[in-house]
Amino acid sequence: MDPGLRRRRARGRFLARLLDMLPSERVFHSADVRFGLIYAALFGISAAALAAFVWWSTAGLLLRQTEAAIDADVLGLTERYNEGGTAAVRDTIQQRLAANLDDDAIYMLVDPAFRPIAGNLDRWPSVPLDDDAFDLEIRRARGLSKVRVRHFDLPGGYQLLVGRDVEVRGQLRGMLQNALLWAAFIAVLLGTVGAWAVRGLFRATLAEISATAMAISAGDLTRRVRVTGQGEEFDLLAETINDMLDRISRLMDGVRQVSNAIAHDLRTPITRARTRLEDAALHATCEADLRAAIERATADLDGVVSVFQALLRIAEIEAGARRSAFVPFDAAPVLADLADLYCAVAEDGGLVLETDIAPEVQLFGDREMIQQAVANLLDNAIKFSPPGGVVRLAARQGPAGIEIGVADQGAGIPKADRARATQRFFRGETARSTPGSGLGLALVQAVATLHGGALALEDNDPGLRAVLRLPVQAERAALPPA
Amino acid sequence: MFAGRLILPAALAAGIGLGAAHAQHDSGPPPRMTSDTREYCDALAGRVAREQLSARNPAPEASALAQEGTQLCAEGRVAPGIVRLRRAWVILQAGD
Ligand SMILES: Nc1ncnc2c1ncn2[C@@H]1O[C@H](COP(=O)(O)OP(=O)(O)OP(=O)(O)O)[C@@H](O)[C@H]1O
Ligand SMILES: [Mg+2]
Repeated sequence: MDPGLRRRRARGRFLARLLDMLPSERVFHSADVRFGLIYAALFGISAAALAAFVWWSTAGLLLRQTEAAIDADVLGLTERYNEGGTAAVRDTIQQRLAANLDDDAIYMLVDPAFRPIAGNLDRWPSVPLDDDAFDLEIRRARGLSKVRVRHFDLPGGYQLLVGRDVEVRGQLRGMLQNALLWAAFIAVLLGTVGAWAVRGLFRATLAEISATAMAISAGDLTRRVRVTGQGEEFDLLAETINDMLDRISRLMDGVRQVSNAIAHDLRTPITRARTRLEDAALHATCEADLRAAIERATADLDGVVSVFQALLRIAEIEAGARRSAFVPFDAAPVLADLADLYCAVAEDGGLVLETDIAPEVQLFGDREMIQQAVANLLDNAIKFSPPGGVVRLAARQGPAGIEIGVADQGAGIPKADRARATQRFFRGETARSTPGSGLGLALVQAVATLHGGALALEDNDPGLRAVLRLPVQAERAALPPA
Repeated sequence: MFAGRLILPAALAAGIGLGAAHAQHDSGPPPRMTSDTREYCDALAGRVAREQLSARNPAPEASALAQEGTQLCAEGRVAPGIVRLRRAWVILQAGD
């Protein structure tokens, strides 16, 4: 085969392999590489800026100083020329050469035919006459030397050359250049290592988070991001993510629990109604039996509907839509009316309802909701108290806010159950025999939260004291945002 | 292929040639500095001596430097000689 062709083919293969080795476009789009590159770029820019400054303030300064000295010289000489012509310039040049302790000055004055008049060069160098300042090489006793010169046209066709020997400065410059080159090499090395490290660091920190996210999206909801315990920003991020995951799982537990409870609690009355209707259909002998069965089934289903209504109402309150209807009102008459209403119920249960309501209880909120909440508390107190006890409704306006308390002398709620008592469908062990669906306290809690307050369940020794604490009207600004 | 391989050295050579042509139009040696020669040293010695004569009361260290410088120039040690003569000159100028 033709050797040229073979070589060309080999080169093609080599190029193809080189292209394969180049990172694909995707690599540059990954965040860690990007951060590494950003780091390298920043590092490079700062290193370059530093080098430029060093150069400017050393080699650059030397050059500027030389130029300034030459300029001053030229200025002085042209002045002398204007005063006394070439003779004066020659004198001045000779004096300046005699006083040139640094032994670095170059002068040359020639007439229009380039014949030397004064100066310390043996002949006019071949210089580009259009150039103003340039570098030149001259022979000195110690060898070749580089000089920086300025060329100047004097009136009358005379030409002036003023320069400085910069050989020593040039050596300094070379040394500096060398040093900067080495520094650049080291900077590139450090920048590469640093970029690599940044990329690795970034990757390591994100790896944990993305591993957790991946595990969670794969179904393992118990996974959490590992916190290194160094208290830095990534730890903060990890903690925030963990908090978020905790909250999500709590909410999901709540939803699961509520839907389980709905299914569980509603199955009983619905099954009961169904059984009744089926029973009646099979065994009823007369129309009256049938009608009675239907009525009882309807009552059962009414219970189901009321549970749904209560649930929807709590959801509505929690959504906060009703807050726009808040008005300032005096709760004292509302509470008094409630007490009147429940007095009879309490008497039926063999209980005494006492009241201790302040003459004025100014509230900012929804009158109907407050009424409903206190009614639920009174209902519980009467329902869960054995006969002979006292139920006490108290309301007062303290400096910290308004307190509406309902206290009874019944069994109370065991400490362990208090936190759960306000959850939807929670019913204590002792409440199994009493009617109810476990939504009363959940509604009270929702109302309290909506009004920017809280529901506290406290010991009344014996019995329970449920206290609704609401902010005073002036603090309406403290309400949580809708 | 051969042409391709020749381009780079040719360009390099051309670049170097251009640079050289720019620095030096004629091919002659660079100009010579005349202020570090034996002749300049002698001329400067004469100039310093004249200045010494014309000065009303020349500083003694200037005289010493001038003498030393002239001596060094005579011995052919031009560079140190010129340095001393210049120092003497500067002192004499400052004295006026
Ligand atoms: N005053 C109280 N004394 C003792 N236990 C109480 C009292 N109030 C509430 N509880 C307990 O808290 C549980 C939840 O009360 P909640 O009012 O939410 O439900 P309920 O009264 O059982 O049903 P509902 O209010 O929906 O008719 C009750 O089942 C009961 O176990
Ligand atoms: Mg209740």
